[in-house]
Amino acid sequence: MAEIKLGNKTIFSESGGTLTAHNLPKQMVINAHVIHNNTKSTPSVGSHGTVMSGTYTKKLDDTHLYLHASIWGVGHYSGLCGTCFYWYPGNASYTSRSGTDIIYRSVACHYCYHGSWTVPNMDLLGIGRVTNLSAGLCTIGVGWATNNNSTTTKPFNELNPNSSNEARNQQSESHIIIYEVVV
Amino acid sequence: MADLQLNGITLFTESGGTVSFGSATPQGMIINVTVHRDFTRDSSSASGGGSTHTNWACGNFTKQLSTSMIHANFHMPFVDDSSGVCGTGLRIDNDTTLWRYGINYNYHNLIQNDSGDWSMQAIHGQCLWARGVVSAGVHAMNFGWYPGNGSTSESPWSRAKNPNSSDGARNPQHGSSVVIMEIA
Repeated sequence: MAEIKLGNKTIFSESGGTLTAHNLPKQMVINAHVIHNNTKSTPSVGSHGTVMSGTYTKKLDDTHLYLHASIWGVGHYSGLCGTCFYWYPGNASYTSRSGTDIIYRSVACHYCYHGSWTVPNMDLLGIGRVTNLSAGLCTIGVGWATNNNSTTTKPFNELNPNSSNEARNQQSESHIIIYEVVV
Repeated sequence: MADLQLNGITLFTESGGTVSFGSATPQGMIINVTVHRDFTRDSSSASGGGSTHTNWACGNFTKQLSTSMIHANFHMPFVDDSSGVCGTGLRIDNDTTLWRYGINYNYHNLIQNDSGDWSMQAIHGQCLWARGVVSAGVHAMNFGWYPGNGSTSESPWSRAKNPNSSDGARNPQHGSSVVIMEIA
């Protein structure tokens, strides 16, 4: 175990041959992580729900997370449904979270419903910011939460279209990249 | 030549005045960013596709570490969508195992030409090559399409990529970009 410190702040540490970054200068990206999903699946309809998610271990308390989502779906469903980033501490499944559990949301994602053709690849896009998570394990995802509590909504029929939707498709892939930035 | 080490593990190394990351750079650090852009309108026939199809040879990048991952962010505008889907992707080198299909476009075939103004679409998205999949050294990033059914006569657009005023008088010259990040 060894550390590089400035004052009482650890900049880098070593343990068992693994180096870890800690208190780097403000506005620096100290960690980048990609949530990647290349499996076709079918979101369930509801007043709220999840499209895709993953876990992330936040390194420090005094950092923000910047999120960039590029998600591909197929099959027009709801014209709109309050698509959003969501996050919560820990790694419990989305469906296991009860109404009293906190799920933070930011309505910073959108998709373009146009109703033309039945199987276009539909982009669900967004850029988000998370400012209220402490260091440690958390869950980050993209989903939806309707403003009027309509219970029959979702952004599209399926996530990550492939050749079973249209023969010319390869297996589509969706991503949420996370940048942890010192503040 | 000098190294900054913790317990014998090199964090940074210096050679000839150039500072580089060591092989044990903390996971999650962005250690290299390469950007390639193309702002030239191209109206040549885009019909094609295949296992090593390349429409835009974006350029090279140098991967510093063998253990790192590569993430690419891509954007390419075009006018007049053609094939509904066609397996658009990014491919590193001419290695057919290194196609990634995180970039697509939303085909709609609506209001393509409104009195000479061609509505714009975009192929965009992200691609990921996991840690250790791509070797250290110089590699080429390529954009193309590889339809899942083997068709070789597909294309995202039928008019042009990187549109300009010839696709609508109010248009300046638009362009395509790819940002390639190496993450330890």
